[in-house]
Amino acid sequence: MKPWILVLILAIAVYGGVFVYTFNLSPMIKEQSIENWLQIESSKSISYMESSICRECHLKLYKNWTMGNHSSVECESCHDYGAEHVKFRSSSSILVEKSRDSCLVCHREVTGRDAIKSVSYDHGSGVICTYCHDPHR
Amino acid sequence: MRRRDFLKVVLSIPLASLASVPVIAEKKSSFAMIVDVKKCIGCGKCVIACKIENSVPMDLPISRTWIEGYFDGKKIVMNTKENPFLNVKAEKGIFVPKLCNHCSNAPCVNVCPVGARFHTKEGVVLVDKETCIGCKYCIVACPYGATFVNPEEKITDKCTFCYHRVKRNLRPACVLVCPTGARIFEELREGSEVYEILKKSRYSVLKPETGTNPKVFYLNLDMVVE
Repeated sequence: MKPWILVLILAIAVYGGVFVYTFNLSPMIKEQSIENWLQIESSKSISYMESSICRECHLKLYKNWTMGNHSSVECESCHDYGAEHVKFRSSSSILVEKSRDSCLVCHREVTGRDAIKSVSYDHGSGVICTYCHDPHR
Repeated sequence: MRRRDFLKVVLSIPLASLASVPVIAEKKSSFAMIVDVKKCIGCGKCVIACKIENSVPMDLPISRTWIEGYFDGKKIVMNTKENPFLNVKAEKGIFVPKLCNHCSNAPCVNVCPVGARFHTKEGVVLVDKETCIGCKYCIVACPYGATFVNPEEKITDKCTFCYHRVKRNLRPACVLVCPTGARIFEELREGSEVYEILKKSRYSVLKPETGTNPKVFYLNLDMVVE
């Protein structure tokens, strides 16, 4: 057998192999990798719970909150994510922020902020907001 | 076998295999988000919540969802914990929250050379991070600038509509924490809240001229934003 025939057969074998793999056997074309990724993506852990989970322990606060002005604001909007708190159930694992800045994140007067009631930065200066306003009511 | 017959047989194998390339499955229902620009107050809770939920570095000056503030035509972007809108002095201002638009005709899915980007059957555009090679074609292709490189993983990252939450029947993190309810997220089918709102009110999408068919709809957006 002449050597160039060997080279030709080898080249065709490589070409055919790559072709068949790329268009028939690769995980991409079989969508295996996509299914794998869908499983990885949907099994990721969550950090933010829903407010209905807070109800399990904090029933009294929850009832106050549903009747109050902030009823459209979810618990974790102010208290930060609750995945750790649900696990450890300690007061250090959830954010309880009573500073002025915490309220002024939303309620400070800013150009274009028309949807909610806002106050100037000097409103009741020096006094913590929660002395007069109960955020859960 | 003569050489000619041999070549005929060998060369016809790849051609025959071409005919059996599978067709990508059809999409049925899809998720959609409505963003009410009038209700957004630019507090940035969605940006922080998104970064915590999806473990994007908090200090990274780019995010999966971000807020653009337009003050007398000047654009200011919030994508970290610090709120740049607090000390802006202007006559008129609006806040436009932005995220991946999960286009039906997504440019990033079309250009991806390794097929790492795909539509799920719910119409969500996802990145397969095990297949992605980080070539950044999608960053160039996306007309909304919603894709970026995650410096920790060295591959592209973008909003997933919180796919892991949606699968557990929870709302996405940005929708959950929004204090004014500026974002509404639901399945886009007859009878759902999103469907009714879109039927009744005038809505707009970002950059309709690009023909991407976005699934994020904006209400009360009375100016053209970049």
